[in-house]
Amino acid sequence: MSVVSRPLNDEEVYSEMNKMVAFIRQEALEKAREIKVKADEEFNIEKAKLVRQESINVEEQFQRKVKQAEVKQRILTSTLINKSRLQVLQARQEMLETVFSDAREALAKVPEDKEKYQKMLVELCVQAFVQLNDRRVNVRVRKADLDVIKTAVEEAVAIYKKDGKDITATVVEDSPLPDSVLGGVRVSALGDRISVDNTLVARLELSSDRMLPQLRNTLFGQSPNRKFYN
Amino acid sequence: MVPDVPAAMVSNQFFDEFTDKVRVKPIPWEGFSRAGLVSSDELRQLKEFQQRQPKEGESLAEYVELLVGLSERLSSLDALQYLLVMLDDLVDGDAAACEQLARDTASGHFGRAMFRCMERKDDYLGLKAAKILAGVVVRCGVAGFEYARLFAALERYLRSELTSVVDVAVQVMQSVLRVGRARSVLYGECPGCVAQLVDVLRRTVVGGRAPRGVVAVPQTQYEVVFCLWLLTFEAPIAESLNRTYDVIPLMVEIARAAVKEKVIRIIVATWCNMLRLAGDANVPNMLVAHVPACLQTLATGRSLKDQDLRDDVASLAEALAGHSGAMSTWDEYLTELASGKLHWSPAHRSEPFWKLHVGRMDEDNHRAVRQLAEVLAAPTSDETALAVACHDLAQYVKFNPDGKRFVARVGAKARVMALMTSEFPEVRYEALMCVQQIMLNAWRN
Repeated sequence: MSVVSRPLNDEEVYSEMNKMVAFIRQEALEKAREIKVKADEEFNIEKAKLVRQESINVEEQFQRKVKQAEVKQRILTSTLINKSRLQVLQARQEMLETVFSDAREALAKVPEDKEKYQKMLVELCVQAFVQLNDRRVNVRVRKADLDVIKTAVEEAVAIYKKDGKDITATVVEDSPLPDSVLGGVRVSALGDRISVDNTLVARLELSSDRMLPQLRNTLFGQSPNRKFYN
Repeated sequence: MVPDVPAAMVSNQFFDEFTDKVRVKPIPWEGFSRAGLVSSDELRQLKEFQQRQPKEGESLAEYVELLVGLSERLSSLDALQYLLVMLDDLVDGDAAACEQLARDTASGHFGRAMFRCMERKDDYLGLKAAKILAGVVVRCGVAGFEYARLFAALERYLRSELTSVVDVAVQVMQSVLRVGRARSVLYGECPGCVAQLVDVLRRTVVGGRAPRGVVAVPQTQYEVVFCLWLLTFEAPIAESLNRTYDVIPLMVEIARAAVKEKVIRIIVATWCNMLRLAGDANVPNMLVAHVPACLQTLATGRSLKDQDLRDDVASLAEALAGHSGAMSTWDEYLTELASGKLHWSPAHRSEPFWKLHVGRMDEDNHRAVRQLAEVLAAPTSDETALAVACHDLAQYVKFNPDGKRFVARVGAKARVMALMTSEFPEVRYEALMCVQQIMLNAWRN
């Protein structure tokens, strides 16, 4: 700076002052700019961090919701499947009932064919005798069959005796089987303590039960999931 | 009212005086109107604009279209200068106008007009255009702006012989680099521009009195280091800046000699950034360039007025001490190697050091030996580094005869032999000694 040899006049004072003011202002603006830059950068970093955090949260929430929806969907599907299975089972059961009741009706007509029925009674008796394997048996039939049963029993006894075993079959008349058995015999031994129920109805029951697998196959086809056939 | 920091701050005496002259220069608008370049509507609008004294809060955004359109069409130097001065005032003072300009830049019109200005011979016009673009980009942000083109133009200005031009160019860069994307573009796509910037900085140190292109040494130093500081906010740049441009020793030199506190302030801030964002890459270089010692001098020697600066110096010194405190002589040697700046420290000359540590040279897949070979091969190593590297290699081979095989494999042997004919006598001597050691062990085996 040049050496001033006289005091400054007003103009010079003002100009010097303005220069100083401008200088200070410039310095201040520069520092202010530095602070602003630092603040901007920190803001950017912070913002990026927050955004990342929140987007992770949102992503998690979304995944949770998706999973919930999936679970709900699966529950619904399985409920419906169950319901439909039950419906199928119900329908099949009804069909079976129909079959059995139709069979029962057909069975009721069997005793109408006298010859065949007679033969049947003989065979039923023989089977019962064999099963009981006792010397003294009682035979019971329906009231309607009382007239044909005597000859049937005699025949049956004869056939049974052919095997070399002795038997005395007595037809019990005072306690006939109810009509609902549709025919056939009930043979008992040991003082009626043990009996073989060879009535038509009993046989129908037995065969219904035993033949369920074949019934299933005929009516509904094999199960698609079945693997073993031996 | 406290004034807000302007988006693009350029203060240069020549520049400002010229701007004032342009403001009052009469422009023959009627002439243009007669020539058909300006429509009568536009003429009327222009007159309106010139008369308007906007009150507080009022905006002149509607005139932006007019000004942009005229700047696209006219090519008269005076008219363009006038238009640019008007636009610059709007960018600084008028937020809505600035947003309108941003939209125009995004759509391409305004950018094209400004880039055309930068291609003309007139420095003032180009720099003014660059300043306006910088202001718009910083204040409002423009998506897809062609930073590379702007930096190419600025590089040209940085090479100018005129001090004011260089000064204004650096100041424009100071503003533009506030935008994050601009930094990546500058560093990645315009290395010439960065190199030129560093060159300006170097000139302030080497040139002595009134070096070429420097207005006032402290101010230029401040401005250039400010640009570097902005660059180091991006982690990849912080990592490779020193490696590519070797700025840390330069900054140490400046900081030591600086008179103005703001120069030191901005240098320390840059170092803080480099350490914070890319510590591993920069710590070795900082230690080798004696940054801790410099910080020590700063903390105790001068009374720093700025509280932020004092805090920064303290935290930086602490961080560096943390890194260097645990270092043994061997680690120091490794650090020196890693930085590539080998010099004659006592460790290099002492025989016991070598005897003790020669085994460790083979550690980590012969890392130390490889680094020595790199230093020898690197074209940027100065003569001391080359000489020291040759000497170290000689010591390695002397105490570890098997090493010579590895030395040959890594190509260092060939390089050392080439260095025997180097231009520097010290390098020749050391290279000769190294070759002697290699040959000596050859027949002894």
